[in-house]
Amino acid sequence: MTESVVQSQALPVVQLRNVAKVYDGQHALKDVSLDVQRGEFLTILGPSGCGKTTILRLVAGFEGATSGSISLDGRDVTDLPPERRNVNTVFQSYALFPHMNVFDNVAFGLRMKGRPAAEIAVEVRETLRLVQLEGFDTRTVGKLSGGQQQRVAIARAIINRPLVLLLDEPLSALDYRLRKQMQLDLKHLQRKLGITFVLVTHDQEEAFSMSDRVVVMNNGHIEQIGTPVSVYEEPRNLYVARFVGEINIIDAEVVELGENRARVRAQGLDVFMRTSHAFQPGEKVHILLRPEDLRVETLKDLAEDPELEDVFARDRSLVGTVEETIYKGATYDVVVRLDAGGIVTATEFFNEDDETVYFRAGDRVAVSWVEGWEVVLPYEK
Amino acid sequence: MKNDGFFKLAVIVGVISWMAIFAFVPNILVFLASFSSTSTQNFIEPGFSLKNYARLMDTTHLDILLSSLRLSGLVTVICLVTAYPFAAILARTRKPLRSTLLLLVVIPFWTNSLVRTYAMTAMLNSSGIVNNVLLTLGIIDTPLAMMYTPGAVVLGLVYTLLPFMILPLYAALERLDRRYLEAARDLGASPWRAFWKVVVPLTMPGIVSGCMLVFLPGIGMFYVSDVLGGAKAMLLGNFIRDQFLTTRDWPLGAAASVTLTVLMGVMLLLYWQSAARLGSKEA
Repeated sequence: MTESVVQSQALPVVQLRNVAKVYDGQHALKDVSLDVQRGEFLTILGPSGCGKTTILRLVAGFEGATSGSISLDGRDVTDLPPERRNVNTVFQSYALFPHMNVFDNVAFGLRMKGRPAAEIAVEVRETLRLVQLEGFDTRTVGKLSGGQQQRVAIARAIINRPLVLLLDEPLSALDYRLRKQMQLDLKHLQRKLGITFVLVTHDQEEAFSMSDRVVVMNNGHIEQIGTPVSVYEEPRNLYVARFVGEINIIDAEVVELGENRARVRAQGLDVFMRTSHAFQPGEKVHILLRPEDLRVETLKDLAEDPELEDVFARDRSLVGTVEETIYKGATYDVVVRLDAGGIVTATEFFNEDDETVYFRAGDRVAVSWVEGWEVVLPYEK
Repeated sequence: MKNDGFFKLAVIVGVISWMAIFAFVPNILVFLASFSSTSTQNFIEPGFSLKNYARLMDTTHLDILLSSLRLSGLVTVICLVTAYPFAAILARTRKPLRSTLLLLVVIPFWTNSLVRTYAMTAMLNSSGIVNNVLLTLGIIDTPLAMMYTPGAVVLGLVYTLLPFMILPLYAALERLDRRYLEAARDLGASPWRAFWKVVVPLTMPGIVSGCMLVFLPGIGMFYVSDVLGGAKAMLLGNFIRDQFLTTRDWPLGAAASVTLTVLMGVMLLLYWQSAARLGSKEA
């Protein structure tokens, strides 16, 4: 309680107010307002061309806003050039100066500030140690590996102790394993330094694993802001639901309203579902179900095992036929064509006890889920 | 397969003999001539002495050499400071307009440069276009004496050689990733400092090759000095030409030629070094 009060009173470190950006008559950003809190790890998530990089470039000062205002630490910086803003950027392809060695690259910012050489030398060494590049001072940047270049780029930025570190898809050029490692390293570095990080990515997994808050963007505007859990579990609309992961969408109709609940009719089901939306009876809605929230049992097993039938929520199950199964390594997806029409995908774990137990195409199955795990959204065209 | 090998061999032999007959042998002859002496019977008396080089070092000859280098240096500097902003704007201009501007840079090449140099006399002489305009506007009362001055030669050389500066600079600036500039600004550099710390070093190969393409011809383009500078030999090129065709002192002309060649060689070496240094870091 007290923590939330303190947070709401603290001045956001970055404030965008009704910011719009037009390129060649095209709206790259439409009326975006966003607060970044001090010390948080915020990720802007969206497909390419959604305006997420534009936000970063506006905050850095590489571009001017067409309208609206940007403040850093309460000070309006809308018209300030990048060199007069206390933010630093880690570029997508690092943009390390090829004519300088590692030391000179990292020292660049402090030299521009006119700090004494002896001080610079100490700080550069310290920063290089922080990113695990001790002894790389005199290496030429072109001969470093991608991961090493990445860490030089981070060192070059954080040595300036910026109010905010802006990261533009910094991990996209790295291979899968290195990317995973760098995600952890970045998160640890952010905690250690206490610097606010604003990261841009199109990878929802990356966004979820690193961020305190995620901003989901689409077509120049913000669709939803929230913690990774809230964005994933409580998407505000179909776009967010689809973008942050696999989802099954079932069309339905509201029959009756209850306390935070609505009785909904869909696919031959007639059940109560949890919702905070104020629907009208007769209104069309979408029911959203994550594949990993679905449970699948064959009708045969259910008929044979009364115990299983008890724990399996039969009253909210959809009956259908397995169309295909897709092997995913740790899990597999079961694609079920429902008798009432439509297809749902359920993600299943392999049975630890018996790895031969596996759904097959043609199996008659029932698909169910725990009450309250569904999300009910207003109908969208 | 066998035919292929024959064709390849024929091409290689052809190219090598061409280079040997028309480039290597003449250069060797000039080189040898520079150590010989002259006599009334023959243009060249074979022998070995360094006296031609010593003669080059005497004050009159040295003056010509140094003033030619100075003049060419001035031309190079003027070309560099005019071409750099132009090339920078060119590199940032959008496609259709950029192609037009590039075409405008290249169009003068379609006319022989000697013809273009003569055309400049129509601009510069006492009843020329520049004087007429200035007189009509009442800015001057008597025509300016622009022809046959070092200034006219510099102008002529700048006009002729400017594209050779613009094109390599444009190539270097166009290749320069704008993110380096953004990174420098992001790290606190003003536009001016970002230019000196990042843009200039990263376009150095273009700057050096542009300077070479201007400075070296600037020493040798004797006809520009002939047409616009009058009788006075202002360039090393005039001097060499005069030794061979007027004074008939071939050994001295040869020594001056060799000196010029060595000068070019040294500059090429410097260029390669700077390019290699930058290249190894970019790789």
